[in-house]
Amino acid sequence: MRIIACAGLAVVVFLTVPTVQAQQQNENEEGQPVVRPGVQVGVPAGAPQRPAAARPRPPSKPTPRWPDGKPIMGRAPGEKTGTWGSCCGNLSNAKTPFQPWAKALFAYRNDNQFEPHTRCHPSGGARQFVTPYGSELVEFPELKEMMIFDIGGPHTFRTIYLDGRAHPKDLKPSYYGHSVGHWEGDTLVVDTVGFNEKFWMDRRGSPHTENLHFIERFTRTDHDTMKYQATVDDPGAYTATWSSDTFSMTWNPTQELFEYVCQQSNYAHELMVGTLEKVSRSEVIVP
Amino acid sequence: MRSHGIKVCATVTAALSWMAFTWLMSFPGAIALAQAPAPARPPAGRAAAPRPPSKPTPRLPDGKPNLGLTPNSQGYWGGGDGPLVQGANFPLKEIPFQPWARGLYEYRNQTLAREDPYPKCVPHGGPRQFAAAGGFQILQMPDVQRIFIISGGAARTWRVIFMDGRPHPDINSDEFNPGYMGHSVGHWEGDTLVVDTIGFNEKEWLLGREGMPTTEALHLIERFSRPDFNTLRYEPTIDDPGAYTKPWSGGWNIRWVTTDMEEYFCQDNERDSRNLVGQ
Repeated sequence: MRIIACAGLAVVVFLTVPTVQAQQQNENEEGQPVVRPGVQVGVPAGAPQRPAAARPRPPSKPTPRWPDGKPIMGRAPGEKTGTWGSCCGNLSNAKTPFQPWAKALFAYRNDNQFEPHTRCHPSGGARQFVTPYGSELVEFPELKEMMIFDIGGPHTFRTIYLDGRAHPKDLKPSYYGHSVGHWEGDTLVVDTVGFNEKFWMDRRGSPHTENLHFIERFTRTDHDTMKYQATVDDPGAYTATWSSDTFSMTWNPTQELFEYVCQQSNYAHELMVGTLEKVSRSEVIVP
Repeated sequence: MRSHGIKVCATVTAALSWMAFTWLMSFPGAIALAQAPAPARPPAGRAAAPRPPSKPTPRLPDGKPNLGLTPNSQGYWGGGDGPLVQGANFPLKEIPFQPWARGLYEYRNQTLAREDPYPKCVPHGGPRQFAAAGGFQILQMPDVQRIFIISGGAARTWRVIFMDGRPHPDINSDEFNPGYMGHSVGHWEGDTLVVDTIGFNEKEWLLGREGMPTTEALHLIERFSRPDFNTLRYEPTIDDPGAYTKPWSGGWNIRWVTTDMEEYFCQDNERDSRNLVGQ
Protein backbone atom coordinates (compact mmCIF):
# COMPACT_ATOMS: atom_id res chain seq x y z
CA MET A 1 0.00 0.00 0.00
CA ARG A 2 2.79 2.29 0.92
CA ILE A 3 4.36 1.76 -2.45
CA ILE A 4 1.30 2.90 -4.30
CA ALA A 5 0.68 5.84 -1.99
CA CYS A 6 4.25 6.93 -2.45
CA ALA A 7 4.10 6.58 -6.18
CA GLY A 8 0.96 8.67 -6.30
CA LEU A 9 2.53 11.50 -4.38
CA ALA A 10 5.78 11.07 -6.22
CA VAL A 11 4.03 11.64 -9.51
CA VAL A 12 3.02 15.04 -8.23
CA VAL A 13 6.55 15.89 -7.23
CA PHE A 14 8.10 14.16 -10.17
CA LEU A 15 6.51 16.47 -12.68
CA THR A 16 8.14 19.49 -11.10
CA VAL A 17 11.72 18.52 -11.77
CA PRO A 18 11.65 15.46 -13.96
CA THR A 19 15.35 14.73 -14.04
CA VAL A 20 15.85 14.75 -10.30
CA GLN A 21 12.49 13.57 -9.07
CA ALA A 22 12.35 10.64 -11.43
CA GLN A 23 14.67 8.96 -8.97
CA GLN A 24 12.20 9.46 -6.14
CA GLN A 25 9.46 7.71 -7.97
CA ASN A 26 11.65 4.65 -8.08
CA GLU A 27 11.83 4.49 -4.33
CA ASN A 28 9.44 3.89 -1.51
CA GLU A 29 9.53 5.73 1.77
CA GLU A 30 12.52 3.75 2.96
CA GLY A 31 14.38 4.52 -0.22
CA GLN A 32 14.12 0.93 -1.35
CA PRO A 33 13.73 0.51 -5.07
CA VAL A 34 10.20 -0.18 -6.20
CA VAL A 35 10.34 -2.49 -9.14
CA ARG A 36 7.40 -4.25 -10.64
CA PRO A 37 8.21 -6.90 -13.15
CA GLY A 38 8.24 -5.55 -16.64
CA VAL A 39 7.30 -2.02 -15.69
CA GLN A 40 9.57 0.90 -16.32
CA VAL A 41 8.82 2.85 -13.21
CA GLY A 42 9.89 6.43 -13.29
CA VAL A 43 10.64 6.82 -16.95
CA PRO A 44 10.22 10.55 -17.47
CA ALA A 45 7.13 11.28 -19.48
CA GLY A 46 8.00 11.52 -23.10
CA ALA A 47 11.38 9.88 -22.73
CA PRO A 48 12.22 7.21 -25.24
CA GLN A 49 11.37 3.70 -24.18
CA ARG A 50 14.32 1.78 -22.86
CA PRO A 51 14.58 -1.94 -22.39
CA ALA A 52 13.99 -2.87 -18.76
CA ALA A 53 17.38 -4.55 -18.56
CA ALA A 54 20.67 -3.76 -20.23
CA ARG A 55 20.44 -7.09 -22.00
CA PRO A 56 18.91 -6.60 -25.43
CA ARG A 57 15.39 -7.86 -25.85
CA PRO A 58 15.13 -10.99 -27.93
CA PRO A 59 13.68 -10.49 -31.40
CA SER A 60 9.94 -10.08 -31.27
CA LYS A 61 7.50 -12.70 -32.43
CA PRO A 62 5.31 -11.62 -35.34
CA THR A 63 2.07 -9.75 -34.85
CA PRO A 64 -0.58 -12.08 -33.39
CA ARG A 65 -3.78 -12.26 -35.40
CA TRP A 66 -7.40 -13.25 -34.98
CA PRO A 67 -8.82 -16.00 -37.18
CA ASP A 68 -10.12 -13.31 -39.54
CA GLY A 69 -6.57 -12.04 -40.04
CA LYS A 70 -6.91 -8.80 -38.09
CA PRO A 71 -4.11 -8.02 -35.63
CA ILE A 72 -4.80 -8.78 -31.98
CA MET A 73 -4.30 -5.53 -30.09
CA GLY A 74 -3.89 -7.05 -26.64
CA ARG A 75 -3.19 -10.47 -25.22
CA ALA A 76 -3.28 -13.29 -27.73
CA PRO A 77 -5.15 -16.45 -26.75
CA GLY A 78 -3.07 -18.34 -24.25
CA GLU A 79 -1.28 -15.28 -22.91
CA LYS A 80 -2.18 -14.90 -19.24
CA THR A 81 -0.31 -11.65 -18.71
CA GLY A 82 0.89 -8.71 -20.75
CA THR A 83 0.27 -4.99 -20.98
CA TRP A 84 1.52 -2.13 -23.12
CA GLY A 85 4.16 0.17 -21.69
CA SER A 86 3.68 3.92 -21.69
CA CYS A 87 4.32 6.10 -24.66
CA CYS A 88 3.50 9.25 -26.53
CA GLY A 89 4.84 12.19 -24.56
CA ASN A 90 4.21 15.19 -26.75
CA LEU A 91 2.11 15.38 -29.86
CA SER A 92 3.05 18.83 -31.09
CA ASN A 93 6.39 19.74 -32.58
CA ALA A 94 8.17 22.63 -34.28
CA LYS A 95 5.90 22.41 -37.31
CA THR A 96 2.62 22.38 -35.42
CA PRO A 97 0.35 25.19 -36.70
CA PHE A 98 -0.67 26.71 -33.37
CA GLN A 99 -3.07 29.59 -33.32
CA PRO A 100 -1.43 32.44 -31.39
CA TRP A 101 -3.47 31.93 -28.24
CA ALA A 102 -2.77 28.21 -28.31
CA LYS A 103 0.95 28.79 -28.70
CA ALA A 104 0.91 31.16 -25.75
CA LEU A 105 -1.06 28.70 -23.64
CA PHE A 106 1.31 25.90 -24.60
CA ALA A 107 4.27 28.00 -23.44
CA TYR A 108 2.46 28.90 -20.21
CA ARG A 109 1.67 25.28 -19.50
CA ASN A 110 5.28 24.29 -20.02
CA ASP A 111 6.38 26.92 -17.54
CA ASN A 112 3.78 26.14 -14.92
CA GLN A 113 2.72 22.52 -15.30
CA PHE A 114 -0.71 22.96 -13.75
CA GLU A 115 -1.90 19.77 -15.26
CA PRO A 116 -5.29 18.29 -14.36
CA HIS A 117 -3.87 14.77 -14.66
CA THR A 118 -1.80 15.29 -11.53
CA ARG A 119 -5.00 16.09 -9.65
CA CYS A 120 -6.32 12.67 -10.61
CA HIS A 121 -8.54 13.86 -13.40
CA PRO A 122 -8.81 11.52 -16.34
CA SER A 123 -6.96 12.47 -19.49
CA GLY A 124 -8.23 11.77 -22.96
CA GLY A 125 -6.27 11.89 -26.15
CA ALA A 126 -2.69 10.64 -26.09
CA ARG A 127 -2.22 11.59 -22.44
CA GLN A 128 -3.87 8.40 -21.23
CA PHE A 129 -0.87 6.44 -22.49
CA VAL A 130 1.66 8.56 -20.59
CA THR A 131 1.64 7.05 -17.14
CA PRO A 132 4.51 5.03 -15.74
CA TYR A 133 2.43 1.88 -15.62
CA GLY A 134 0.99 1.53 -19.08
CA SER A 135 -2.32 0.11 -20.15
CA GLU A 136 -4.05 -2.92 -21.58
CA LEU A 137 -5.99 -2.92 -24.83
CA VAL A 138 -8.80 -5.45 -24.57
CA GLU A 139 -10.91 -6.42 -27.54
CA PHE A 140 -14.43 -7.80 -27.29
CA PRO A 141 -14.95 -9.15 -30.79
CA GLU A 142 -18.53 -10.32 -30.20
CA LEU A 143 -19.56 -6.92 -28.88
CA LYS A 144 -17.48 -5.11 -31.51
CA GLU A 145 -15.82 -2.98 -28.87
CA MET A 146 -12.33 -2.38 -27.63
CA MET A 147 -11.59 -1.04 -24.19
CA ILE A 148 -8.42 0.57 -22.93
CA PHE A 149 -7.75 -0.06 -19.26
CA ASP A 150 -5.29 2.37 -17.70
CA ILE A 151 -3.36 1.26 -14.65
CA GLY A 152 -2.07 4.68 -13.68
CA GLY A 153 -3.72 8.03 -13.14
CA PRO A 154 -7.32 7.61 -12.03
CA HIS A 155 -7.26 3.89 -12.98
CA THR A 156 -10.10 4.19 -15.42
CA PHE A 157 -11.12 2.95 -18.85
CA ARG A 158 -12.17 4.09 -22.30
CA THR A 159 -14.48 2.46 -24.82
CA ILE A 160 -13.94 2.37 -28.59
CA TYR A 161 -16.92 1.20 -30.64
CA LEU A 162 -16.00 -0.95 -33.63
CA ASP A 163 -19.50 -1.76 -34.83
CA GLY A 164 -19.67 0.90 -37.51
CA ARG A 165 -21.87 3.28 -35.55
CA ALA A 166 -21.59 7.03 -36.17
CA HIS A 167 -20.83 9.62 -33.53
CA PRO A 168 -24.07 10.70 -31.84
CA LYS A 169 -25.25 14.23 -32.37
CA ASP A 170 -25.26 16.64 -29.42
CA LEU A 171 -22.59 14.81 -27.46
CA LYS A 172 -22.09 15.99 -23.93
CA PRO A 173 -18.39 16.97 -23.78
CA SER A 174 -16.38 14.42 -21.82
CA TYR A 175 -12.80 13.52 -20.97
CA TYR A 176 -12.55 10.62 -23.38
CA GLY A 177 -15.05 11.81 -25.93
CA HIS A 178 -16.89 9.37 -28.18
CA SER A 179 -14.60 6.98 -30.04
CA VAL A 180 -15.39 4.85 -33.06
CA GLY A 181 -12.82 2.74 -34.87
CA HIS A 182 -12.33 0.98 -38.15
CA TRP A 183 -9.54 -0.97 -39.81
CA GLU A 184 -7.39 0.33 -42.64
CA GLY A 185 -5.32 -2.71 -43.47
CA ASP A 186 -3.46 -3.63 -40.30
CA THR A 187 -4.02 -0.24 -38.71
CA LEU A 188 -6.85 0.46 -36.30
CA VAL A 189 -8.00 4.01 -36.94
CA VAL A 190 -9.89 5.53 -34.03
CA ASP A 191 -11.91 8.68 -34.57
CA THR A 192 -12.96 10.65 -31.50
CA VAL A 193 -15.04 13.78 -30.98
CA GLY A 194 -16.97 15.20 -28.04
CA PHE A 195 -14.06 16.13 -25.78
CA ASN A 196 -14.26 18.58 -22.94
CA GLU A 197 -11.44 21.07 -22.32
CA LYS A 198 -10.61 19.98 -18.80
CA PHE A 199 -7.56 17.87 -19.60
CA TRP A 200 -4.30 18.06 -21.50
CA MET A 201 -4.37 15.83 -24.55
CA ASP A 202 -0.64 15.16 -24.23
CA ARG A 203 1.97 15.36 -21.52
CA ARG A 204 3.28 18.77 -22.53
CA GLY A 205 -0.08 20.43 -22.80
CA SER A 206 -0.66 20.97 -26.50
CA PRO A 207 -3.95 22.86 -26.21
CA HIS A 208 -7.26 21.72 -27.59
CA THR A 209 -10.85 22.93 -27.60
CA GLU A 210 -14.26 21.26 -27.69
CA ASN A 211 -13.89 21.35 -31.47
CA LEU A 212 -11.18 18.70 -31.25
CA HIS A 213 -11.52 15.89 -33.74
CA PHE A 214 -8.83 13.41 -32.78
CA ILE A 215 -7.71 10.57 -35.02
CA GLU A 216 -5.44 7.88 -33.62
CA ARG A 217 -3.69 5.18 -35.61
CA PHE A 218 -2.71 2.00 -33.76
CA THR A 219 -0.49 -0.42 -35.68
CA ARG A 220 0.93 -3.54 -34.07
CA THR A 221 4.00 -3.98 -36.23
CA ASP A 222 5.20 -7.06 -34.37
CA HIS A 223 4.22 -8.86 -31.19
CA ASP A 224 6.09 -6.47 -28.94
CA THR A 225 5.49 -3.15 -30.68
CA MET A 226 2.44 -0.94 -31.02
CA LYS A 227 2.98 2.12 -33.17
CA TYR A 228 0.81 5.10 -32.26
CA GLN A 229 0.26 8.26 -34.20
CA ALA A 230 -2.32 10.97 -33.72
CA THR A 231 -3.82 13.52 -36.07
CA VAL A 232 -5.24 16.67 -34.53
CA ASP A 233 -8.07 18.41 -36.29
CA ASP A 234 -9.04 21.28 -34.03
CA PRO A 235 -9.97 24.52 -35.76
CA GLY A 236 -10.39 26.06 -32.34
CA ALA A 237 -6.67 25.90 -31.53
CA TYR A 238 -4.77 25.27 -34.77
CA THR A 239 -4.76 26.81 -38.22
CA ALA A 240 -4.58 23.46 -40.00
CA THR A 241 -4.87 19.75 -39.33
CA TRP A 242 -1.55 18.28 -38.21
CA SER A 243 -0.09 14.94 -37.21
CA SER A 244 2.22 13.86 -34.44
CA ASP A 245 5.37 11.86 -34.81
CA THR A 246 4.94 8.10 -34.57
CA PHE A 247 5.47 6.68 -31.09
CA SER A 248 5.95 3.13 -29.88
CA MET A 249 4.45 1.24 -27.00
CA THR A 250 6.40 -1.82 -25.91
CA TRP A 251 4.78 -5.05 -24.74
CA ASN A 252 5.51 -6.04 -21.15
CA PRO A 253 4.87 -9.78 -21.40
CA THR A 254 4.86 -10.60 -17.70
CA GLN A 255 2.87 -7.63 -16.46
CA GLU A 256 -0.58 -8.16 -14.96
CA LEU A 257 -3.00 -5.33 -14.39
CA PHE A 258 -2.72 -4.02 -10.87
CA GLU A 259 -4.48 -1.46 -8.75
CA TYR A 260 -3.02 2.03 -8.70
CA VAL A 261 -5.22 4.86 -7.55
CA CYS A 262 -4.14 8.47 -7.99
CA GLN A 263 -6.94 9.68 -5.74
CA GLN A 264 -5.47 7.87 -2.80
CA SER A 265 -2.72 10.43 -2.67
CA ASN A 266 -4.81 13.30 -3.89
CA TYR A 267 -3.21 16.03 -1.84
CA ALA A 268 -3.36 18.46 -4.71
CA HIS A 269 -5.84 20.90 -3.26
CA GLU A 270 -4.10 20.88 0.10
CA LEU A 271 -0.88 21.65 -1.72
CA MET A 272 -2.52 24.46 -3.58
CA VAL A 273 -4.47 26.16 -0.86
CA GLY A 274 -1.89 25.61 1.79
CA THR A 275 -3.78 23.48 4.26
CA LEU A 276 -0.98 20.95 4.33
CA GLU A 277 1.41 22.61 6.74
CA LYS A 278 4.46 20.58 5.89
CA VAL A 279 4.51 21.81 2.32
CA SER A 280 6.93 24.56 1.47
CA ARG A 281 5.28 27.81 0.47
CA SER A 282 8.45 29.16 -1.09
CA GLU A 283 8.00 27.75 -4.55
CA VAL A 284 5.39 26.65 -7.03
CA ILE A 285 3.97 23.24 -6.21
CA VAL A 286 2.68 21.28 -9.12
CA PRO A 287 -0.93 20.42 -8.41
CA MET B 1 -24.61 11.87 3.09
CA ARG B 2 -28.36 12.03 3.15
CA SER B 3 -30.36 15.25 3.16
CA HIS B 4 -27.49 17.31 4.49
CA GLY B 5 -25.35 16.10 1.64
CA ILE B 6 -27.45 17.97 -0.84
CA LYS B 7 -26.61 21.23 0.83
CA VAL B 8 -22.95 20.69 1.18
CA CYS B 9 -21.67 19.00 -1.83
CA ALA B 10 -22.30 19.32 -5.49
CA THR B 11 -20.87 15.91 -6.19
CA VAL B 12 -23.14 14.31 -3.71
CA THR B 13 -26.04 16.26 -5.10
CA ALA B 14 -25.31 14.98 -8.54
CA ALA B 15 -24.82 11.51 -7.23
CA LEU B 16 -28.07 11.59 -5.33
CA SER B 17 -29.93 12.89 -8.34
CA TRP B 18 -28.51 10.11 -10.38
CA MET B 19 -29.32 7.64 -7.63
CA ALA B 20 -32.87 8.87 -7.50
CA PHE B 21 -33.11 8.49 -11.24
CA THR B 22 -31.63 5.04 -11.31
CA TRP B 23 -33.70 4.07 -8.32
CA LEU B 24 -36.81 5.14 -10.16
CA MET B 25 -35.64 3.32 -13.23
CA SER B 26 -35.17 0.23 -11.19
CA PHE B 27 -38.85 -0.38 -10.77
CA PRO B 28 -40.90 -2.40 -13.18
CA GLY B 29 -42.41 -0.10 -15.71
CA ALA B 30 -40.07 2.75 -14.86
CA ILE B 31 -38.64 3.05 -18.32
CA ALA B 32 -42.04 3.28 -19.89
CA LEU B 33 -43.01 5.84 -17.26
CA ALA B 34 -39.90 7.86 -17.91
CA GLN B 35 -40.53 7.98 -21.60
CA ALA B 36 -44.19 8.89 -21.46
CA PRO B 37 -45.37 11.43 -18.89
CA ALA B 38 -47.24 9.57 -16.22
CA PRO B 39 -47.88 10.08 -12.54
CA ALA B 40 -45.09 8.90 -10.31
CA ARG B 41 -45.86 5.76 -8.44
CA PRO B 42 -45.06 5.10 -4.82
CA PRO B 43 -42.20 2.67 -4.44
CA ALA B 44 -43.99 0.26 -2.15
CA GLY B 45 -47.25 -1.54 -2.67
CA ARG B 46 -47.44 -0.33 -6.20
CA ALA B 47 -50.01 -1.84 -8.44
CA ALA B 48 -48.61 -3.61 -11.41
CA ALA B 49 -48.28 -1.37 -14.43
CA PRO B 50 -46.72 -4.37 -15.90
CA ARG B 51 -43.45 -3.99 -17.66
CA PRO B 52 -43.48 -6.27 -20.65
CA PRO B 53 -42.24 -9.70 -19.69
CA SER B 54 -38.48 -9.80 -19.69
CA LYS B 55 -36.67 -11.71 -22.37
CA PRO B 56 -34.99 -14.82 -21.04
CA THR B 57 -31.50 -14.88 -19.64
CA PRO B 58 -29.06 -14.34 -22.51
CA ARG B 59 -26.33 -16.91 -22.82
CA LEU B 60 -22.81 -17.08 -24.21
CA PRO B 61 -21.85 -19.71 -26.79
CA ASP B 62 -20.51 -21.89 -23.97
CA GLY B 63 -23.97 -21.95 -22.38
CA LYS B 64 -23.11 -19.79 -19.37
CA PRO B 65 -25.35 -16.83 -18.67
CA ASN B 66 -24.22 -13.63 -20.31
CA LEU B 67 -24.17 -11.19 -17.39
CA GLY B 68 -23.67 -8.17 -19.60
CA LEU B 69 -24.21 -6.74 -23.04
CA THR B 70 -25.46 -8.84 -25.90
CA PRO B 71 -24.12 -8.18 -29.40
CA ASN B 72 -25.65 -5.31 -31.33
CA SER B 73 -27.37 -3.77 -28.34
CA GLN B 74 -26.90 -1.07 -25.75
CA GLY B 75 -27.24 -1.31 -22.03
CA TYR B 76 -25.74 -1.56 -18.58
CA TRP B 77 -26.76 -2.39 -15.05
CA GLY B 78 -28.27 0.58 -13.27
CA GLY B 79 -26.87 1.63 -9.95
CA GLY B 80 -28.07 3.61 -7.02
CA ASP B 81 -30.16 0.85 -5.55
CA GLY B 82 -29.95 -1.57 -2.72
CA PRO B 83 -28.24 -0.43 0.45
CA LEU B 84 -26.88 -3.64 1.81
CA VAL B 85 -28.99 -3.73 4.93
CA GLN B 86 -32.22 -3.48 2.94
CA GLY B 87 -31.50 -6.73 1.24
CA ALA B 88 -29.82 -8.43 4.16
CA ASN B 89 -31.16 -11.73 5.24
CA PHE B 90 -31.74 -10.46 8.75
CA PRO B 91 -32.55 -7.10 10.31
CA LEU B 92 -29.93 -4.49 10.91
CA LYS B 93 -30.03 -5.08 14.64
CA GLU B 94 -29.04 -8.65 14.03
CA ILE B 95 -25.97 -7.90 11.95
CA PRO B 96 -23.29 -9.65 13.95
CA PHE B 97 -21.12 -6.63 14.66
CA GLN B 98 -18.19 -6.99 16.96
CA PRO B 99 -18.54 -4.32 19.64
CA TRP B 100 -15.93 -2.00 18.16
CA ALA B 101 -17.47 -2.34 14.72
CA ARG B 102 -20.92 -1.51 16.03
CA GLY B 103 -19.46 1.49 17.80
CA LEU B 104 -17.76 2.71 14.65
CA TYR B 105 -20.92 2.13 12.64
CA GLU B 106 -22.92 4.17 15.14
CA TYR B 107 -20.29 6.91 15.22
CA ARG B 108 -20.36 7.14 11.43
CA ASN B 109 -24.11 7.54 11.51
CA GLN B 110 -24.07 10.07 14.33
CA THR B 111 -21.53 12.12 12.39
CA LEU B 112 -23.71 12.00 9.27
CA ALA B 113 -21.19 9.97 7.31
CA ARG B 114 -18.92 12.98 7.02
CA GLU B 115 -15.85 10.75 6.92
CA ASP B 116 -17.12 8.65 4.07
CA PRO B 117 -14.19 8.33 1.63
CA TYR B 118 -16.51 7.76 -1.33
CA PRO B 119 -17.19 11.46 -2.04
CA LYS B 120 -13.43 11.98 -2.17
CA CYS B 121 -13.44 9.89 -5.32
CA VAL B 122 -11.56 6.87 -4.11
CA PRO B 123 -12.68 3.66 -5.80
CA HIS B 124 -15.79 1.98 -4.48
CA GLY B 125 -14.95 -1.68 -4.28
CA GLY B 126 -16.95 -4.46 -2.72
CA PRO B 127 -20.75 -4.38 -2.53
CA ARG B 128 -20.72 -0.61 -2.88
CA GLN B 129 -19.74 -1.06 -6.50
CA PHE B 130 -23.20 -2.43 -7.13
CA ALA B 131 -25.14 0.12 -5.10
CA ALA B 132 -23.47 3.29 -6.34
CA ALA B 133 -24.82 5.78 -8.81
CA GLY B 134 -23.73 5.46 -12.40
CA GLY B 135 -24.21 1.74 -12.77
CA PHE B 136 -21.79 -0.83 -14.07
CA GLN B 137 -21.04 -3.28 -16.83
CA ILE B 138 -19.95 -6.89 -16.60
CA LEU B 139 -17.67 -7.92 -19.47
CA GLN B 140 -17.06 -11.64 -19.71
CA MET B 141 -14.08 -12.98 -21.61
CA PRO B 142 -14.45 -16.75 -21.51
CA ASP B 143 -11.63 -17.26 -24.01
CA VAL B 144 -9.06 -15.70 -21.73
CA GLN B 145 -10.87 -16.59 -18.53
CA ARG B 146 -11.25 -13.10 -17.17
CA ILE B 147 -14.25 -10.95 -16.30
CA PHE B 148 -14.04 -7.17 -16.09
CA ILE B 149 -16.51 -5.16 -14.06
CA ILE B 150 -16.41 -1.49 -15.00
CA SER B 151 -18.20 1.23 -13.07
CA GLY B 152 -19.98 4.08 -14.78
CA GLY B 153 -19.92 6.52 -11.90
CA ALA B 154 -17.97 7.57 -8.81
CA ALA B 155 -14.29 7.08 -9.60
CA ARG B 156 -15.27 5.26 -12.82
CA THR B 157 -12.83 2.48 -12.25
CA TRP B 158 -12.70 -1.23 -12.93
CA ARG B 159 -11.83 -4.60 -11.45
CA VAL B 160 -10.77 -7.95 -12.83
CA ILE B 161 -12.09 -11.37 -11.81
CA PHE B 162 -9.78 -14.21 -12.72
CA MET B 163 -11.66 -17.28 -13.92
CA ASP B 164 -8.64 -19.44 -14.73
CA GLY B 165 -8.51 -21.28 -11.44
CA ARG B 166 -5.54 -19.38 -10.08
CA PRO B 167 -5.29 -19.10 -6.30
CA HIS B 168 -5.29 -15.87 -4.36
CA PRO B 169 -1.86 -14.40 -3.72
CA ASP B 170 -0.46 -14.46 -0.21
CA ILE B 171 -2.01 -11.28 1.13
CA ASN B 172 0.30 -11.35 4.13
CA SER B 173 3.34 -11.14 1.89
CA ASP B 174 5.30 -7.92 1.69
CA GLU B 175 4.77 -8.08 -2.04
CA PHE B 176 1.00 -7.73 -1.73
CA ASN B 177 -0.68 -4.35 -1.55
CA PRO B 178 -4.19 -4.40 -0.11
CA GLY B 179 -6.48 -2.55 -2.49
CA TYR B 180 -9.91 -1.03 -2.89
CA MET B 181 -10.93 -3.86 -5.20
CA GLY B 182 -8.95 -6.70 -3.67
CA HIS B 183 -7.97 -9.86 -5.53
CA SER B 184 -10.93 -11.67 -7.08
CA VAL B 185 -11.20 -15.20 -8.41
CA GLY B 186 -14.44 -16.65 -9.71
CA HIS B 187 -16.12 -19.85 -10.77
CA TRP B 188 -19.57 -20.94 -11.90
CA GLU B 189 -21.99 -22.88 -9.76
CA GLY B 190 -24.68 -23.75 -12.26
CA ASP B 191 -25.95 -20.43 -13.59
CA THR B 192 -24.49 -18.44 -10.70
CA LEU B 193 -21.14 -16.70 -10.88
CA VAL B 194 -19.43 -16.99 -7.50
CA VAL B 195 -16.60 -14.53 -6.88
CA ASP B 196 -14.24 -14.84 -3.96
CA THR B 197 -12.24 -11.77 -3.01
CA ILE B 198 -9.61 -11.03 -0.37
CA GLY B 199 -6.90 -8.40 -0.09
CA PHE B 200 -9.01 -5.33 0.64
CA ASN B 201 -7.66 -2.22 2.28
CA GLU B 202 -9.61 -0.35 4.93
CA LYS B 203 -9.76 2.98 3.18
CA GLU B 204 -13.25 2.85 1.74
CA TRP B 205 -16.68 2.07 3.20
CA LEU B 206 -17.04 -0.99 1.03
CA LEU B 207 -20.45 -1.97 2.35
CA GLY B 208 -22.11 1.30 1.50
CA ARG B 209 -22.81 4.75 2.80
CA GLU B 210 -24.30 3.32 5.96
CA GLY B 211 -20.71 2.89 7.09
CA MET B 212 -20.61 -0.68 8.29
CA PRO B 213 -16.88 -1.22 8.70
CA THR B 214 -14.65 -3.86 7.20
CA THR B 215 -11.06 -4.79 7.91
CA GLU B 216 -8.17 -6.21 5.91
CA ALA B 217 -9.43 -9.60 7.04
CA LEU B 218 -12.51 -9.19 4.83
CA HIS B 219 -13.27 -12.24 2.74
CA LEU B 220 -16.06 -11.27 0.36
CA ILE B 221 -18.11 -13.86 -1.49
CA GLU B 222 -20.35 -12.44 -4.20
CA ARG B 223 -22.98 -14.37 -6.09
CA PHE B 224 -24.19 -12.99 -9.42
CA SER B 225 -27.10 -14.46 -11.31
CA ARG B 226 -29.32 -13.20 -14.11
CA PRO B 227 -32.75 -14.77 -13.63
CA ASP B 228 -34.05 -12.97 -16.70
CA PHE B 229 -32.72 -10.50 -19.24
CA ASN B 230 -33.63 -7.41 -17.23
CA THR B 231 -32.55 -8.54 -13.78
CA LEU B 232 -29.23 -9.12 -12.10
CA ARG B 233 -29.33 -10.64 -8.64
CA TYR B 234 -26.39 -9.63 -6.46
CA GLU B 235 -25.83 -11.46 -3.18
CA PRO B 236 -22.74 -10.67 -1.15
CA THR B 237 -21.61 -12.58 1.91
CA ILE B 238 -19.48 -10.63 4.35
CA ASP B 239 -16.98 -12.88 6.05
CA ASP B 240 -14.82 -10.52 8.07
CA PRO B 241 -13.63 -11.95 11.38
CA GLY B 242 -12.00 -8.61 12.05
CA ALA B 243 -15.32 -6.79 12.37
CA TYR B 244 -18.12 -9.37 12.67
CA THR B 245 -18.67 -12.38 14.85
CA LYS B 246 -19.90 -14.52 11.97
CA PRO B 247 -20.47 -14.27 8.21
CA TRP B 248 -23.64 -12.56 7.07
CA SER B 249 -25.30 -12.00 3.74
CA GLY B 250 -27.45 -9.56 1.85
CA GLY B 251 -28.65 -9.14 -1.67
CA TRP B 252 -30.64 -7.09 -4.07
CA ASN B 253 -31.84 -6.96 -7.66
CA ILE B 254 -30.38 -4.61 -10.23
CA ARG B 255 -32.23 -3.56 -13.36
CA TRP B 256 -30.96 -3.47 -16.91
CA VAL B 257 -30.87 -0.01 -18.48
CA THR B 258 -31.07 0.12 -22.24
CA THR B 259 -28.75 3.00 -23.05
CA ASP B 260 -24.97 3.32 -23.21
CA MET B 261 -23.32 4.01 -19.89
CA GLU B 262 -22.45 7.71 -19.73
CA GLU B 263 -19.09 9.12 -18.75
CA TYR B 264 -19.15 10.40 -15.18
CA PHE B 265 -16.11 11.14 -13.05
CA CYS B 266 -16.33 11.99 -9.38
CA GLN B 267 -13.04 13.87 -9.73
CA ASP B 268 -14.75 16.34 -12.02
CA ASN B 269 -16.39 18.03 -9.09
CA GLU B 270 -14.43 16.90 -6.12
CA ARG B 271 -14.88 19.54 -3.47
CA ASP B 272 -15.98 17.27 -0.73
CA SER B 273 -12.92 17.10 1.39
CA ARG B 274 -13.41 20.81 1.99
CA ASN B 275 -17.18 20.80 2.07
CA LEU B 276 -18.30 17.75 3.96
CA VAL B 277 -20.20 18.49 7.14
CA GLY B 278 -17.96 19.41 9.99
CA GLN B 279 -14.72 19.50 8.11
